[in-house]
Amino acid sequence: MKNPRYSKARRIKNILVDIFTNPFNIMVALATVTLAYLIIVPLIEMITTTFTVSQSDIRRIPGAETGDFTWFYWQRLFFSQLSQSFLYVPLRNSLIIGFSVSAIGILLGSFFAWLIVRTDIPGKKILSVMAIVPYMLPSWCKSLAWLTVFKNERVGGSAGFLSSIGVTTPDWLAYGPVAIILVLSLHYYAYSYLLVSAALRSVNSELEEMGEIIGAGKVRILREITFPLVLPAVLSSFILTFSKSIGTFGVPAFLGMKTNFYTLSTMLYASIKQRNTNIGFAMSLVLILFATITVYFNQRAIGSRKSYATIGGKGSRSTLVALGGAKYPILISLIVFIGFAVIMPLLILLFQTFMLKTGDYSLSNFTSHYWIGSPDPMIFENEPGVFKNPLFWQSVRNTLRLVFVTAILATLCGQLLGYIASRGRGTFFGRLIEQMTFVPYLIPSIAFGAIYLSMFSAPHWFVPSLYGTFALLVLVSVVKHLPFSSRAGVSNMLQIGVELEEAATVEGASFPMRLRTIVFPLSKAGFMSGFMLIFISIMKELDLIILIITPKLGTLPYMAYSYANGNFPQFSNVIAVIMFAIVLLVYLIAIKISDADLSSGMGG
Amino acid sequence: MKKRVFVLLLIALLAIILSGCGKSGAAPTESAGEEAPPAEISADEAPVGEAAAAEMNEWARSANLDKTESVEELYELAKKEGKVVIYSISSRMKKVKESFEAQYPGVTVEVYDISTNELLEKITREYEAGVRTADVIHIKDQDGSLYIEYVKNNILHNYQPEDITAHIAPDLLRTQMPFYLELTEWFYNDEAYPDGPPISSWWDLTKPEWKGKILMANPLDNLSYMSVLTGLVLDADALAEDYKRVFGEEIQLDGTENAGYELIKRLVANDLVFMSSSSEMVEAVGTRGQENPPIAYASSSKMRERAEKDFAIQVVSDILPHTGIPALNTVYVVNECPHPNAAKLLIRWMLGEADGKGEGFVPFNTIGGWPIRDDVELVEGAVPLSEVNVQDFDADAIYHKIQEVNDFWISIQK
Repeated sequence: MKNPRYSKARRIKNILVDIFTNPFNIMVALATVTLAYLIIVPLIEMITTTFTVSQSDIRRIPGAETGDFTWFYWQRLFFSQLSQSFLYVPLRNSLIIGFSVSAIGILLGSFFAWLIVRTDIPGKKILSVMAIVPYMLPSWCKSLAWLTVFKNERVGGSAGFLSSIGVTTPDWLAYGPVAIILVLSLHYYAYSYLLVSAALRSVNSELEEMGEIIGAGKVRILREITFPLVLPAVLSSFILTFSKSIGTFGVPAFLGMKTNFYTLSTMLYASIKQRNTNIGFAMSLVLILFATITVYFNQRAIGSRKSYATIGGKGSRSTLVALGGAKYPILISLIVFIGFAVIMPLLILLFQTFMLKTGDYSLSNFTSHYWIGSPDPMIFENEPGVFKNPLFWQSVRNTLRLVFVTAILATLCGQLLGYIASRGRGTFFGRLIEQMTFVPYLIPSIAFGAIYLSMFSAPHWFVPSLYGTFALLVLVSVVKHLPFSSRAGVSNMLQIGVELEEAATVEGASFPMRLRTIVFPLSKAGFMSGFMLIFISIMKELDLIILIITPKLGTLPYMAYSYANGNFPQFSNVIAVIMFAIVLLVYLIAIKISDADLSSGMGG
Repeated sequence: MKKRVFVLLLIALLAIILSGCGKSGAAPTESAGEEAPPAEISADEAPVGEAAAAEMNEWARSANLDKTESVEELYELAKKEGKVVIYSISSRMKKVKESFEAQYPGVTVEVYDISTNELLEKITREYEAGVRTADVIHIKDQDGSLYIEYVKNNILHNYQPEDITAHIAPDLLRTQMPFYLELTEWFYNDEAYPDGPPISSWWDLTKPEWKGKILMANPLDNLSYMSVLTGLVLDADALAEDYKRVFGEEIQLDGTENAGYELIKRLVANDLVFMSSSSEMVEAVGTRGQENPPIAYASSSKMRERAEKDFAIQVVSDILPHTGIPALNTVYVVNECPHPNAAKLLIRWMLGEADGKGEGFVPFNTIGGWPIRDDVELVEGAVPLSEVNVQDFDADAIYHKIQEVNDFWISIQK
């Protein structure tokens, strides 16, 4: 430092040149701006909307003009005579459901995971596929199956299966919170199953063996060794399950609205559907707040222990826990459980598609009309069998197009963001990007759809009007799935050693070349699992796109939902069965060709 | 990881600040498409009957929406336009397309069959985005919002040619061009009640024997039901009168404002069951072999399922004080649409042309759907509208009351 001024200026210049020409920095900048535009701006617009008078509310607010600033919506939500039934009661219901579903789901899922990964239970391969089958069917389809079985005479008409064989089901079981909690738990336990089994796989069984050597019993080993090791995974699945179950509207709508049981998500849906968007957004913000609080406490609970998750890496050998005499009783109860929770809903749906009239279980009532029948004026208003309905084929095309385009795009973006976040770990922008990508997870799907609809229907800044375009569907789906895809990307990229890239740099490889020849090829496996997860999720997606879909863009879940809502249950079931078949098929192909593992897609 | 939460909080804070400053900047862009030019506001108080014509903007007048042209003239102009696009809530519009294209070769009809909420959403979004795809809209004005938010703001126009409106009651023409009428009516099971309707008044439904057996759509989920309730509140005096007839004494209000609200409160207390569609309701009511069937407030068009699905359903057509406000199907021309002449021709065709004999109306003349023209004959088996107690539809009154009723409804839920 003989000539400080000279070297200082030069250094600054060099640093600046490096910052502005380094492709990595350019990528970071681009990603930051794009994410801010696609995630933070909508959130801000959402908040702004709750403070702006809408045209239809001029009649309620004396002297107001459209677009004025107002506290009206917040005041109405929190401090009016409506607050009790508008906010507090539904919120209480949402929280009850969220916590119960998380508790049941985590217990079920973790137990399943432990049995399949860590014990010598027979038939693991098939069991592990069975365990995630429920996740492949939209949760609200399961609520239809639930009603088919438990529907009682409260609503008249054709009886449910149990009622028809003389078992009267009580109201509290057929509708309302109990039904909702059970149906949702049977759906979302898949999260805990996937995450906990991934964590269990990474735990070296030597730790458990050590416990055994010192003479600890099985229960004690579970409690004091295994459980603490998988705790981070359990807590992550808690976040996933909790925020999903307080945000979803399909199941609570089908099982709750008939008995006036509202959750914040169904209240929110009702508001947005009635075009009371402002108050709907205010409710969403409350939901977002609660999801954020949960995440916060969760992070505190995990704290420094998070690093346990990968301790010891994948053990080279792992000894299975012998279940001994309990093996077959456990297997049998597992099979019974799978029979009831997995196979039965599917069979019910399938069975129903062949019943000309619902509730009539005689043989003469069987028909293939709903699959391949030609229009018949005497059956459901001339509606043709699904395979003869041009709308169905259009929906199939739309769905496949949406699913593939979105899954590929989302996965690509996820890998790129993962690359940025993993290489930029510890830097401000790395953290910022990681955090921004997590935000869509906290926003309830339906509100996310609504805000995208209002933002992008008219030209917005440099984006042209996207109303009624396929692009809008893709955009909203990609962004909403970024939390998943980017976490998959991060975990994938962390596995690729930086040394490889550094070596290439030394050899003079350019940045794009490094990405092309090192990063992408190595991330293929992770790519597939991330892809699968998003594929399944979008295949079933309804909440997110229900407001955005226009007649020409209808997808299969939307078609099934419209049928279900219009009381065409058989048609709706046909489509649900077909959707399930597609997902299962793609999933089986994917595990066959690439060993894709859904759990790693969730970013364990 | 605490940082994540911190960043979120920061974002929220930032957002609140921005929302505060941004309001003046954001407002004009959001509402620019909707607001009527100030000059036209004074036309609000135009005399009843001419209201629609008086409010029309420049474009509508230049498109001759306030004139009555001859069919030949319109056909010539329409041929030059070549096609017309309609967004409709009815699947039957496909039949109109067939008959129209047969009648007027050279003009094709593009039909989009969309549900009410989606249609409204679609047309609003497109309009705001400056996209003009639809020429004609067929929808229901359930709560007056189409009149107040769309017609008054010159987004949609009423096209009321005199040779056709001459056959329509002036009351129905005040705020809209009506197309046909549907009703929401009380359905009962006539196998279980062979001697006629088990109820004769809305107040009968508040009796204990109907507890847990009244089916309807959830008004929070279905605007037309909330509109009906609003209609009842607006007609509270008639309800109070009818209460005396049913119970033989003056009504005692239990903390509510009037007999309409009181009725709603007691209905809710009688454990209403909500269903998502009318066909689900008539299935629940009409399935044969039930000992104790429920009763349902469902769309009159479902009466056809009596024949189609052999349901034992019948409607209570003489319920007191009335069966509620009608579901008025309406037609509009979209402001600045690309094919205004073909649009006018199509609307005339849908309404049965000057003589009421045009084939365009035939698909809509059904049991459970009523023509609004006095020169169109009812289909066989239809009850004349004059024999059904229907409440008047006052778009303006409903529009300004409905949110109050909505709030009341929410406030009395458990």
